[in-house]
Amino acid sequence: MKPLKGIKVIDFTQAHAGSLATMILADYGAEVIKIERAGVGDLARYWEPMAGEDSGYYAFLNRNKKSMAVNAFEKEGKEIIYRLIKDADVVCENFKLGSMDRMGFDYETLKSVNPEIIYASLNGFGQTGVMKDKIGLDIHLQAMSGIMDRTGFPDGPPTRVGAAFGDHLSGMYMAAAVNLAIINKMKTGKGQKVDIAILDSLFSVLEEAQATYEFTGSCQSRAGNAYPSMAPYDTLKTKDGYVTVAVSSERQWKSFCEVLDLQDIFDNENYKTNESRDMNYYSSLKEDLEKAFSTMSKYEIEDKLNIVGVSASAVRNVREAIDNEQIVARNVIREVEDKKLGKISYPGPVIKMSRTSGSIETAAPLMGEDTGHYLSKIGYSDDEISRLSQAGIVETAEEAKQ
Amino acid sequence: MSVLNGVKVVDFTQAYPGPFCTLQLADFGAEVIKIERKNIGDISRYWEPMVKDQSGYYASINRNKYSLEIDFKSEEGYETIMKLIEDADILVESSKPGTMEKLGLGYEEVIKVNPEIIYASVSGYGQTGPMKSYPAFDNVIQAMSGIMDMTGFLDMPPVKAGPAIADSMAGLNTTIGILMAYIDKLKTGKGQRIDVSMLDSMVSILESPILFNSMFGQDVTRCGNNDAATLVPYDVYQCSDGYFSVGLAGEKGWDKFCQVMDRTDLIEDQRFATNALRCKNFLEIDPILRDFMLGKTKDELEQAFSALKISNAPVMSVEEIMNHQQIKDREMLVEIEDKTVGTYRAVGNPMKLDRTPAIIRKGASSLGEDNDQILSQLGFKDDEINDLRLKGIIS
Repeated sequence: MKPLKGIKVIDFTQAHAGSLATMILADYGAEVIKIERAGVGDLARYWEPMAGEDSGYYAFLNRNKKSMAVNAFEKEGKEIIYRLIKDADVVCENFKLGSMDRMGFDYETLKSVNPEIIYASLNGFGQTGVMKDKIGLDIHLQAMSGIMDRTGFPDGPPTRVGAAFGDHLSGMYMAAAVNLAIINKMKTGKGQKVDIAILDSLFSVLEEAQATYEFTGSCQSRAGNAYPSMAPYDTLKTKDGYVTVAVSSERQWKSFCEVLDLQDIFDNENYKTNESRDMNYYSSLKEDLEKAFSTMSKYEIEDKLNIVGVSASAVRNVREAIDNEQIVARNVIREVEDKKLGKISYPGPVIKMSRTSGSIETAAPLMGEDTGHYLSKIGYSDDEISRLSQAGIVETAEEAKQ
Repeated sequence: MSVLNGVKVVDFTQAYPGPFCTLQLADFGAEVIKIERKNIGDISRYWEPMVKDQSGYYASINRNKYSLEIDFKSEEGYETIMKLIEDADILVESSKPGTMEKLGLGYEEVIKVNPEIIYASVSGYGQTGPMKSYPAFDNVIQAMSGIMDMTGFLDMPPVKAGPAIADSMAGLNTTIGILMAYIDKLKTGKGQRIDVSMLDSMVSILESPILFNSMFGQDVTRCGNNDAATLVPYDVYQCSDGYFSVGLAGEKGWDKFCQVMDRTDLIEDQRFATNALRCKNFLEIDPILRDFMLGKTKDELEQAFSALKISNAPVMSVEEIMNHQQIKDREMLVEIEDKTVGTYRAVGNPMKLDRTPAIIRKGASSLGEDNDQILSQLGFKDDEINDLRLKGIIS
C-alpha cells in the first residue's frame, strides 16, 4: 500500500514546478484532482515536445492525476470548488501572487470552508518580501540566485543549468513541505499554510560559495569543471568526446596513472603531490592529460578508472544517459501507454521504497476526464451536470475532445 | 512545537548529500545524532572554508544536529551504537553500498534489533545495478546523468552546474522518502528500506530532452542561455557592468521590448513581427539586442524592463544575492551562534510552514561534543561512560 493513500489533494498547479510536487504526491498514492480551467487547461498542455495537439511534457508531469475542468470565475464554478475542498486534505497552487485571492480561493476563505486544510503555494519569489509581486521565469531566477554566476567557465559568460532546475528543485521542496504538514496534521489535527519560493530553493543549494563568502568575505565566481584544491578534478577531452574524473588521494593518483598507462606523467616531479598537481594543473597537467587521452575513448577511461576505485564517467548525452545499463537496471525510465500519445517513455518515481513503492498506475488524464465522476461524488445529479456543462461552467472529456 | 519533535534519527552520513537530508529533518525538530568516527569525524570537518581549525562548510550543513564520536569498530562501540539504533525511528547512511554491512550495520542486522526502523541510504549509484560499488563524486554523476552535456555553449566544452546539485537533489529526495515512510509508519507501525541515488535523481530532472528522445528519436544538447529555436528574445546578455537576463515568455510584449530599446521602428519590421519570425531571423535580431544591452548598466536595464512589466533579472554574484532585500525579507539568512566557527549567518530553510516553521536552535556540535548527554539519555551511568572513555571507545 502506498504511503499517501487516503490523502486527497485539490491541485490548482500548472506548468512545471507545482505540477512536479503533486506528481510526487500522486506517484506515492495521494488522490490528486487537478483543477483545469475549462476551455484552456494547464499551460503545459501546450508545451513541447508536442505530437499533434498533445504534449509529452504534460503527460510526464501529470501521470496518476485526475482532471476536472471547471470555470472557477463563475459563481457556480466556485461552489463546485468549495464543495470539493470540504473533504480534501491539501490544496496546492503555483499562481502568481494574488490570483487565488481573486478567484475567492485564498487561504482564509478556504480555511472557513475546511478549517484543517493544508494550503501550499509555490511561485518565483514567494508570498512575502519586496519582490513578491514580480513574475520570475526559470532563467531569471537562476540569474538572480547566484547559481548562474557559479556555472560556466571563468573566461566565458555565466551559464544556465541545462534543465528547468529551479522549477524541479522547488517542486521537490513543496512535496517535502506538504509531507511535513501532513505529519503535523496526523499528530495534531491541524492544517497550515506552506509557502515555497523558487528563489529561496535555488539559494539553499549554493553550497560552499555561501560559506566561503560568509566566513572569508571572498566571493567565488564560476570555475568551469574544476574544484579548488583537488587535481585532477575536471572534464577532459578524449578521442571521442569528454570524460569527467575525480582523483581524491595519492593512492588514487597512483592507480589513475597505472591503469591508464601514464608512467611519464606519474614520474613528473611537478605532479608528485595533490598540491603540486593543483598548482601546475592549468600550466601543464591538463594539457599533458588531454594529450594522452587523445588516443583513448571516453568509455575506456571510465571503465578502467572505476575498476580501480577512481571515480570517472564519460560525458553522456541524454540518449547515452538513459541507455546506461545502470539506469536500465534501476528501472528509472518507464514506458507508459499515454491516452493520446501512445507509448512514450519518461522518468518514473525516483525514490525506491521497499514496502510502499511509487508507481505509475494511470497515464495523464484527458482534460476534464474526471469532471463527471467527482461532481456526482459531491452530490450533483446527472441533470445538474449536463446543465453545468451546457452553461460552460464545467467541461467533460467528451466535449474537450471536440 | 516542531513537526518532528520526538523523532530520533541515527545519522551515519558524511560529506554533503546525506547531511543535507538530515539537515531538513533537524530543522523541523527531529533529534539527529551524527555518529562520527573517533578522532576523525565527518570528512567535511576538514573542508574549506576553515575558521581556526573548524570547517565553515561542516557548520553550515550540520546545525541543529548532535555529535557522538565513537570507535564503532570496537566491540563495545558497536554495542553502544546498536543500543542507540534500537531506540531510533530512522537511520540514514551515505556510504558506498556494502560498507554498512561490513561494519555489521546493514539493514538485515539492524532490523534484528529494531524491526520497525526506517533505514534510508543515499549513494552515488544506488543499492542495486552493475555500477553500485563505483565511487561517486558530484562532477562524475553530473557527467553520467546527461545534465553536463545539456549545460553550456555548443562551441565550448560541456560544463557542470557550479554547486554540487547531484548531492543536494539526492539528499532532498531522501528527505521526501523518509517523510513518506514516516507517514506510513504512523499509520501501520511498520518501517522499511529507502534507496536513493544521485544518478537517478539527476537523470530524472531531464524530462524534456528525454521526451524529445523518446517521442521523436531526437538528440538534444546544450544551447547556452537561450533557446533560439522556440523563444526569441530569451537570453542572458552582456551589459556594461555585467550580465543581464531578459526574455518574453510567449507572443506578447515585443512592442514593449522595442520601446525599451527605443527602436519602435522594429515593431513594424516584418522580419521580427512574431516569435516564430524572430526565431527564424535570429541571426539578424540577435546583434541588435546585444548591442543595445552592451550600452546599458544592469540597473538601467532592470528599471526599463520592469517599468513595462517584462520579466527580467540581473545575473547576481553570490555576494549580491546574499545581501539582497528579498533574501532578508524571506529570512533566508539567519544569524546563529556557533561554538565551532563563531556567529555567522546560516542559510535559512526554504520550506516555510506557518504553524510549524523550521527552527534553527543551535549551531553545529564539535566532534564528540554530545557524547555524555547522548549516552546518559540512553541509560548509561556516569561510571559506565567514564569506563568507555578510559578504554578509548569514546573521547
